[in-house]
Amino acid sequence: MRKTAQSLAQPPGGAGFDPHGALAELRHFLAANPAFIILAGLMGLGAFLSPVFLTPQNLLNILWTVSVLGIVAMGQTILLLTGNFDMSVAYVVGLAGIVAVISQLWGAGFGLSLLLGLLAGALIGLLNGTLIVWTRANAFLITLGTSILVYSVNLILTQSKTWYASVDSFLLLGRGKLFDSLHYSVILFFLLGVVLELMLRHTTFGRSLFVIGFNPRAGALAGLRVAPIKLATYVFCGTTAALAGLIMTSRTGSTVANAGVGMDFDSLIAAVLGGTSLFGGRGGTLRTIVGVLILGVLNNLLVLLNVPYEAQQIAKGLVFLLVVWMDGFLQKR
Amino acid sequence: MQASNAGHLPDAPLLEMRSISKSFPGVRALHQVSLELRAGEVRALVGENGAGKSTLIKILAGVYQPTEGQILLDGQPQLIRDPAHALRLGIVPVHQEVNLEPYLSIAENIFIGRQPRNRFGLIDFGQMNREAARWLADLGVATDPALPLGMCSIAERQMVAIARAVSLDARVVIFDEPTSSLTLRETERLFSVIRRLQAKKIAVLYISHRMEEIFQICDTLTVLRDGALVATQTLRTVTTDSVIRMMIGRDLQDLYQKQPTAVGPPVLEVKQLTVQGILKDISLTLHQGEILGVAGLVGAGRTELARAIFGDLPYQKGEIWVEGRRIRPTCPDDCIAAGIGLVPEDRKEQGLVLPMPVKNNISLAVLNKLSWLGVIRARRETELAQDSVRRLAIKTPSIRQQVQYLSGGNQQRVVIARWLATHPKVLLVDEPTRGIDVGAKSEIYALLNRLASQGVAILMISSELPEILAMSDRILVMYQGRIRAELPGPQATEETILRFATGQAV
Repeated sequence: MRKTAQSLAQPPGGAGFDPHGALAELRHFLAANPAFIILAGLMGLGAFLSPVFLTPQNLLNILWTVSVLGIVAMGQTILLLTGNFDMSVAYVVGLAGIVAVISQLWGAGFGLSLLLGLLAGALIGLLNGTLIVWTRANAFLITLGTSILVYSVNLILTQSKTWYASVDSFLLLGRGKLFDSLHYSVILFFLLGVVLELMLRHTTFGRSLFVIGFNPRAGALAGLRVAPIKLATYVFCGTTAALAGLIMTSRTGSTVANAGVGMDFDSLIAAVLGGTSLFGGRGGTLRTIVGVLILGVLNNLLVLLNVPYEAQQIAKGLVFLLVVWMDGFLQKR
Repeated sequence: MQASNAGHLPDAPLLEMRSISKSFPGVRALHQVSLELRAGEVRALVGENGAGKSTLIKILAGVYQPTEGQILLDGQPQLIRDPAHALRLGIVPVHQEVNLEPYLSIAENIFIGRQPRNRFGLIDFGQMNREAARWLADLGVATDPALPLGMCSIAERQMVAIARAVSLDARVVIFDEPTSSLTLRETERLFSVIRRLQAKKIAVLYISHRMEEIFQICDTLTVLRDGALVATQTLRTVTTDSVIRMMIGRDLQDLYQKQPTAVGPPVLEVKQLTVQGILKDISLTLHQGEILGVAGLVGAGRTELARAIFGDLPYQKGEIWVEGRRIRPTCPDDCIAAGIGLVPEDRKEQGLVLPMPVKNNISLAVLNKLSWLGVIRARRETELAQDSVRRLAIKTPSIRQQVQYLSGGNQQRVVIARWLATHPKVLLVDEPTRGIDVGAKSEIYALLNRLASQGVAILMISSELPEILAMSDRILVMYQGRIRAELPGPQATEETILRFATGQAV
């Protein structure tokens, strides 16, 4: 029975392949997660090209820089696993900061302004999720639509001006460091990645996300309540985007309507670069950490090497295309 | 007729495959298989899943290259480079899922890539439609070729695919399970088309699991087992039993092992269930330990009945009672909680999460029971999977094997295992043996019988009448969304079922 035509479709070394020895296992792991190789390669290249690159200060700087995008990418990864997207995260990042800063001007303290900012993100997530569950329309386009709405709200709230945070403790969120070396936001980013990965691998909720990503119909017929789960993932993604927005605002102490611009695509690139599929069902948040780090290292290198901004954008575009092509290619196999 | 033709080989073969072998890394899919097809011959190709039928067809269609062996067309050796080359040579596969363009018209599909042009270089639709109509009429089909293909039934799409094949000057047409989605009448029409192909001296390779059809339409038969040729014979010299014996390599004592079971109290009661435009006033009672067969043609509402009972299709009127308690399901989860399970019609699309391991597929419906505060207890999940694999004799190298690499019969057992884990009172099974080979079928039947004897109430929907007749304690026959007849299992015959299923008897 093993010799069925179906089993022929199995790539050699795919599932069911059981290598022996730690070395073989490592090789197997790396073959399944090429992102690690890319990251290591880039780090090696960086060390070779720039004397500054491997200094602790620079490495910490990279981590600090990517942590905001990293937190956005966490929510995006959760959505991607179910085969969904959220293109509104960029302006939700802005919205959360704006809501927090404006509520502070109206007298809200640290806790309340934070809560209101997160709530704003969660609400946009709820709106996205409801529209998608309800209309069954394409998630990419729906969230692109709400993205425009959120941007207009941002413009109205800010009256197209820059606003400054007025609560000192709020500034600690983005600028504070543990033991005077590691930013809280970096810790938060890693912690989220690890906790979410554990959630994905070991809880019924995590399992249901993968099932929905692969085959929502089979999931529903096995008793999964797909619609509430989808809603929850959108609310979560909106909330992480808002959290990132609060950190970003606290870092600069100010905010504008388009504060998070570009993070929609960047969070997608980071997740897919790490090894999460655009088609749902495959991936994880630990991989996204790697993907985010690759982007961060790449950016850092281009800056260190004084590559002009235009060329940096070209590099980013190429990476995105490469990643999407690879994802499609791996899916077809 | 042609059968005698193939019997004493007066003319040279049209297509000849000589000692074809095909190996994939780690697996030998075909070993030294030889096959000769004559013009106008209809050859059945049978074998269990994994016997090498698909590989053989794919080699003919240019998808795979043989590792060894030679293919001759009209006595000329040919290297079939790719599918396009196979088409140019006149080898045309008509697939299970016909790959046509739903938004183009029938005529455009027939002439896709070679549309007749007018003098401005634009497509000459008038001429194209006329020619398409001619090809269709040739097959006895009168559908308007200007209709978009998406509006056609599966049977009509098949006819379009055949018309395209014939218009491409086909020499060999390969049918892979062509009747799996057809009604009886459509099947009859397909057969008359195959006879026309035969009259045009086209050779037909016909792959099917359905023995009755093979005996009806084919002249000769080739049996494959484990990648090797078992025999090629004319159909007059074989019987269903001998063919099955050749396919599975052993005696099949009895395909169905129906044991009389004591039928207990009612478990599931459905009263006047109505779904707008689909089901009308369906009432039925299902008892503990009973297998209730549901027969009917495609489109009679059988699958929809199961979906409505399972909370997957909202109903406007009616009541569902499980063990004396009324349920008002809004989604399948409500029904699972009430003790109902559904083995859906389409295993791959609706039943399984194909890229996930056997383990995850088995535990899917009971994940909450296996977990504590939402955390899955890995050991209990593994135990459940191992236990299920053992009890249902699921053939898999490991519970971590992705379910997509299992054979059809084993995949179906994984779906059943999932429901057994819920300890169901009622199991709805929709086409439980579709696309499963003969040997594995009898094991599925044995499993269903065992469940019934353990007190599970089973509602079995099937298009295969022998299966319905052999397995059911009672049989419901549906026609146009209604239950037309309830027949006691032992007394029913194919003729009576068909009379009700086609609306001829009331």
